[in-house]
Amino acid sequence: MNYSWNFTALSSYVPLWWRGLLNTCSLSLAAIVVGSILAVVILAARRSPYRLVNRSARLYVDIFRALPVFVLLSLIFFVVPIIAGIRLSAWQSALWAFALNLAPFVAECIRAGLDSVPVVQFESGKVLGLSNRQIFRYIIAPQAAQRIIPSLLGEYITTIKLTSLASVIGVEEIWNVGGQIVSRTSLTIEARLVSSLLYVAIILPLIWWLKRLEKRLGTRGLVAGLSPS
Amino acid sequence: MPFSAQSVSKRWPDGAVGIADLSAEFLPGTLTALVGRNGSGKTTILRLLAGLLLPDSGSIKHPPGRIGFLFQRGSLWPHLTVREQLMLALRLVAKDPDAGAAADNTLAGMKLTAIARCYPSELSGGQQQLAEIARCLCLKPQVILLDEIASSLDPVAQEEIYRRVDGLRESGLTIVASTHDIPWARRASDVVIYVADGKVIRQGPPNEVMDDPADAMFSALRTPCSR
Repeated sequence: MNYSWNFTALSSYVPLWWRGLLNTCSLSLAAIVVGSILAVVILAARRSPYRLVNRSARLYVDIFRALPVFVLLSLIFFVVPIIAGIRLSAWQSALWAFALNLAPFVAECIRAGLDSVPVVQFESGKVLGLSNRQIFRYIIAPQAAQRIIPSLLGEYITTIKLTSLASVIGVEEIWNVGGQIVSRTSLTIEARLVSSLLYVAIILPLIWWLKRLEKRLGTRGLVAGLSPS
Repeated sequence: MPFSAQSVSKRWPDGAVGIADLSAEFLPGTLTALVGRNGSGKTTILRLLAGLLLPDSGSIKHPPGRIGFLFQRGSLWPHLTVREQLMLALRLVAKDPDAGAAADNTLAGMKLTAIARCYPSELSGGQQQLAEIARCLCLKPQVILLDEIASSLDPVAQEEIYRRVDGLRESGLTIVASTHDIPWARRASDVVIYVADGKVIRQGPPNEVMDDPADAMFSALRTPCSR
């Protein structure tokens, strides 16, 4: 390939890259926080004794697991403002799309983790005379966390990657600023490469950290022979 | 006030009989063996006695003091060492300010100091069961309910568990144990309760209950192989 690389021309756009990086990080973080709070609300609703609350939570989980994120994003940015008459910025629309998308997965992840702790673990605390709260805190939660944390972090990493879709509705995140720089410099390959590397630079350390965490959580028991018969 | 059950009955939500009309008295220093086939209601009786299930009718009188319950398996907490399990129980339930020393005492008394810092997954089946007994005993219960605690163990480990159970009985604890080990029930128990399909078929001293020639279950177990 006879291509003369020109990365130096990109150096004058460092502030723009920086803005993109910050937007990706802020959008991811906000979506993760809001999505996780929503997930806790869903979980609480699913344990509610009221059928309507319970059913709605389940319906929400099913529908939002079925909706593609890109479709959700487009709906919130283009359709919801018309129907509901509210104006959301591109960043806000993206935040809600990713948060609403993330919440059912987080809820499911936590539910599955809690359910994976055998009933006998609860009962063994009960017969010793521990209160329900103590059983949850000292017996159930630590075991569930071993299973929840790795898959939860997986969902969070996925959300960070998904934020690149927000470039389409004009959120100035990493991929979007890359596009802006392409149109100003015509350095398509260089600019897109830098964008890609920025994603890798954010996510790769998280993946390494996750791997180490999984190994550490895995060393403590949970071996066959401890399941209830 | 002795530990007793009066006309205790329990039905499952689907209408099936869990246990029908159980009356029994469990005295200190005695071992009551619950025998019967799988699904006959042995575990249901133990769970009712432990308060894990509430009876539909009848009543259970608990003596003063704690009741311990030992599960068949898998009730140790996998994220804690043996010593930590005892400490957790002592700290939260007995409110023992010196839980570490009390845990070490119990473990030393049972000659289990060697496994004190092991996680359950690092223990053999027999050791796990011993650890569970230690966790139960550290709270000094007056009654211990045993749910087939030796059935998944090898014969050597079984003997070890049986020896410990004998010791507990001799020290004056009230023991109720479900088991499939008929020879052990005959040898070690004071009273046998034989249940089938949720009903108490017979109860009394082991010889009376088990030597009744009219009963197919025990006669089948006594009949030598015909080939």
